[in-house]
Amino acid sequence: MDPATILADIQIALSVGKLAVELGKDAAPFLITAYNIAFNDKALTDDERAAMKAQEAQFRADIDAQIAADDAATI
Amino acid sequence: MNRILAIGLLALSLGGCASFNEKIAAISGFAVTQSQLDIAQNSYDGTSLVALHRYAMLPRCAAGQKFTVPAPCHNAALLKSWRAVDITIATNFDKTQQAITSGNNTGAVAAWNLLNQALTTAASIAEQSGIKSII
Repeated sequence: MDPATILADIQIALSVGKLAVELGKDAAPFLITAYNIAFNDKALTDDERAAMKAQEAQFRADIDAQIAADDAATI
Repeated sequence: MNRILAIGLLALSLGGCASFNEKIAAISGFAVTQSQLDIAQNSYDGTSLVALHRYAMLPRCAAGQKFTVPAPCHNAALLKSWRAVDITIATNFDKTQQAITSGNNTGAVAAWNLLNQALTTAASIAEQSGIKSII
């Protein structure tokens, strides 16, 4: 295997790793909460539920902004 | 006859007919609890909404380009479809929450069932996006 191919493979692995880490960082708080409710009898407080809703709203605002940008670019 | 009597006594021992009915409904899967809803919502956020958000943040695919691991990108039409299903899911999470809060178990179960149908559709779209292959 030549050095250029090895380097290309490493770059692919790094990009996959980066995306997976970013996804994991975002997903972890929600999944840990779900686990604690399911297996540690945790009950969400109103404040915790409100924080979850605020994070959801932020994600959805970002997504909607991107969709609007896509629409603007394709017109 | 003895069995009916035994069930009746069990109902009384559980603190009355209303309580007994609630327990039977929960056992049969015809009740949705706040914990179940919180687990479902956090699981959805952690698996699907996060993936949808990350997918949206990728650069837009050029004409004819598809998502690949070396060059990840989002398809504008697919993103729009995925978000439309997400809207349905969010609406039904809210309806389930409102029904639980107001003690309307029939409404909670109806919204819960619609929610599950939308979740199946979302899972299918997520598969098409390619981003789920990363997780």
